[in-house]
Amino acid sequence: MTLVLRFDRGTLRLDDLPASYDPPRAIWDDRTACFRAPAYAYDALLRDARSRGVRVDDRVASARLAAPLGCRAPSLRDYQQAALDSWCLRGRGVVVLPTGAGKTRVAIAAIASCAVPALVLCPTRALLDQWEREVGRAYDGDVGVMGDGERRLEPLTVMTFASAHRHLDVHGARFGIVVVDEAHHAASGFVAEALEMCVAPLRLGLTATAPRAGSAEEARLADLVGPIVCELGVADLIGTHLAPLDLVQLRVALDPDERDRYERSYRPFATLRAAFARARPGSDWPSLVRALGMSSDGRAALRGFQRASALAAFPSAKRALVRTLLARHRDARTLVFAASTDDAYAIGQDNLVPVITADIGRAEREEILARFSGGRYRAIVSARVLNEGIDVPDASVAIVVGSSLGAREHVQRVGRVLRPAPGKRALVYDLVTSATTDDRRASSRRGALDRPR
Amino acid sequence: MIVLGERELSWVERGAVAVPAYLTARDEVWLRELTGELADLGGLSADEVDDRLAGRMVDLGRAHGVRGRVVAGVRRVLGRWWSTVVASAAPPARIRSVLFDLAASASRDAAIDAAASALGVDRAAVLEGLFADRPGARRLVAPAVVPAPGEVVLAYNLALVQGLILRSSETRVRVRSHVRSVVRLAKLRRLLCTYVPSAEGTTIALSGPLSIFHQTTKYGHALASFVPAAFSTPAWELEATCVLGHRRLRVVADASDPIARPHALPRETDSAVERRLVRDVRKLGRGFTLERETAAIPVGGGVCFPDFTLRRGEARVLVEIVGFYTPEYLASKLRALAAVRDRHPVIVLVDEALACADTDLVGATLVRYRKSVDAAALLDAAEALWRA
Repeated sequence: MTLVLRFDRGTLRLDDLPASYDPPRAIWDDRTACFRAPAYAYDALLRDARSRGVRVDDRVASARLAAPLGCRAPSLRDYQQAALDSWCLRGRGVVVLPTGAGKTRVAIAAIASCAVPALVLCPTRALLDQWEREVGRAYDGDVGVMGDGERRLEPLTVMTFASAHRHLDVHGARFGIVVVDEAHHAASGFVAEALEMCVAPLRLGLTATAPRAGSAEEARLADLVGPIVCELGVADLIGTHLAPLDLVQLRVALDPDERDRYERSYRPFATLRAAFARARPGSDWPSLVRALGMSSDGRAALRGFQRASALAAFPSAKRALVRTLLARHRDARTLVFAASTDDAYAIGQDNLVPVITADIGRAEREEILARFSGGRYRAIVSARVLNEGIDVPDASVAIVVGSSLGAREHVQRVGRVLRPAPGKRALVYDLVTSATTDDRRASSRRGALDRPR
Repeated sequence: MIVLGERELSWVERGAVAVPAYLTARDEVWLRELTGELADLGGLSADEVDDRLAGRMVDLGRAHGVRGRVVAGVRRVLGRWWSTVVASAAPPARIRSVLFDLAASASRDAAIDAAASALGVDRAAVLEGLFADRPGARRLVAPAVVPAPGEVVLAYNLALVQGLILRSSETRVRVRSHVRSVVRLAKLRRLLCTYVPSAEGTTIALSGPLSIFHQTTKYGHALASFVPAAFSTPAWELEATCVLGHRRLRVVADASDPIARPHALPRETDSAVERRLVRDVRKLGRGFTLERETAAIPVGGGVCFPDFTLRRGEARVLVEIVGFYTPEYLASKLRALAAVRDRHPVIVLVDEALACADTDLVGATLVRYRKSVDAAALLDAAEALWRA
């Protein structure tokens, strides 16, 4: 008997299975009276069947697009070449490099070396544009784009994570390699679902901040994309392949009125948290939030905690300090990172500098970045959109006003100003409100630049 | 589609069954209060509305014994009627482009004055409009007619059931009519369907291809967006396996539940050709009736849904219109009809414009047509089949 393998809505359908063969990762599906496996098990299934001498009628491969002709590999630095070599050994894996270290070049070199239809997945529309441009420079053909209102499928296609989730049940068999940008997002949720629906045997993940070693996220990422095959932190490349960095922490205090409001908002939460810690020592943050969420007092305490945190992230002293720093660095290109979009808009309104958030449309975002790159704008404010990926080559000063996502976010933000340039020395201000939740957050991100995970 | 989020879902557990905590006529008192207050907030920014309502919603919940998540869910559902607009003297993106450009080389005051002049608005309007398009700054617009509390109850209950179904890996619905249209909608959402026809209707089990491995948001959304179609049919019943609060629970609902039916019932006929055929058969007056097929006919492991049943007295013949053609599509359709033909006579109407080869149509009783079906020829063919 010949095992017939078909792609079916993001899964693999296995028909005419030899009685003695137990296919890996496939289970019997009563609904359609066949064995079924998630699409990403395609390579493992084929290898296993062949190793056991099972004949396979592979009808999945016929859906694959033609190989992209005329894709040129860029020149690579020694550590980029080492990362590529390490990935090539298995054709699966995650490359962890700091922002500015040239992950995109590694990916394009990988695509060029494989000569199979390629899919690049990225989290945002801003990154979609950027990948289209970067890939377009190295490829003679038309680059396919799915996302941000476009639906063009080509042998070399870029998609947002959201589009991939929507379309890979149909197009999941079209590609031989999938590149996952900001791969730390791919370990869970709808991005993981999208990767499950794709058959591509070759998989390359790119990130500056891999999941914690030994975590469930790391295991899931290894299953869907591959293990970490190369890992370098900011400290490994600063001064050689990344710009040298000065990190300056500036501390501010709440004014008396803010301190009073902070304490009133924070105290009920602190009381309940202490009681919870006594009752369940060693419990983690999600357990605490779950427990507090079960009573109206607990929910009110959580709301108070959020108010206190928001106040600590952007008190009047930070507001004034941002004004001073922007004036001081009026001649430098400066990125300002706020904890929330509301804070980002407040900074934009105070200082009359442009703001990039998810609410800002594509055309306006591109105009802001073009004026920033051209030197017309000297500063841009953002909350999260500029954390990852967007290429801002000439920024040399970063002002971290507040953060909400911890050490990983901090590494990403600092990386924004580390792209090397002749004579460049990057400067990062980390603004911290003393004796508040903001202080504790700053402690948790201290040292994050030395250790990638 | 407004679907409630996890923190807005409300249900009552009875063993392994989660019964949706529907709003009822008893809730109309506080709903009237809430919609009345919201109607008075027209013109405020979305952030201001949220600030004012935050405390008020807690008070309402306490006063009427309603859980906070229910009030929050209602607030979300009311978004269907209350919209927001950008209120600015000039397009905010234009203000930003002009002002930030000027501010790059001038003092703050000088830049604002110059921008006001360039945009033809006053100084205050420049700052007011600068970020007036961000979601929290948009102004609330009350609907011309505030929805009646009863209407809100039905809309909330639909959003609640859809929110629960969103977390399901498999949903079973029993429908008593319009089976074909309901299945067509499910297949458009790329759901896997299996059927069990019975005297009480057809039970359709719907799930995503990946659901045998785990629950997925992709097909959860597909199921949630599909269920209103089933709710449009009479006497429907639903049962779904859902993951709620880390537990697997069965959600049950049926046509007696107070749920909105926003989905228009499918039309009896799909195309001009079909509508004309129904009319012509009626006009001929030879004792025939042409009915849109509503019941699924079991074929092997699945079911078949021919377009029509042509009846005269006890005799009947199934009628299938082939208005779309690829060799693969036609072959699969003829295979299904051949399986049915053992039990029911079948006539296939083929559009000549499709240029189907005769070899593609072997074994079928054919009536070819051009633009419209000759109803008399169809009835003749039916009589010939019955005689045979």
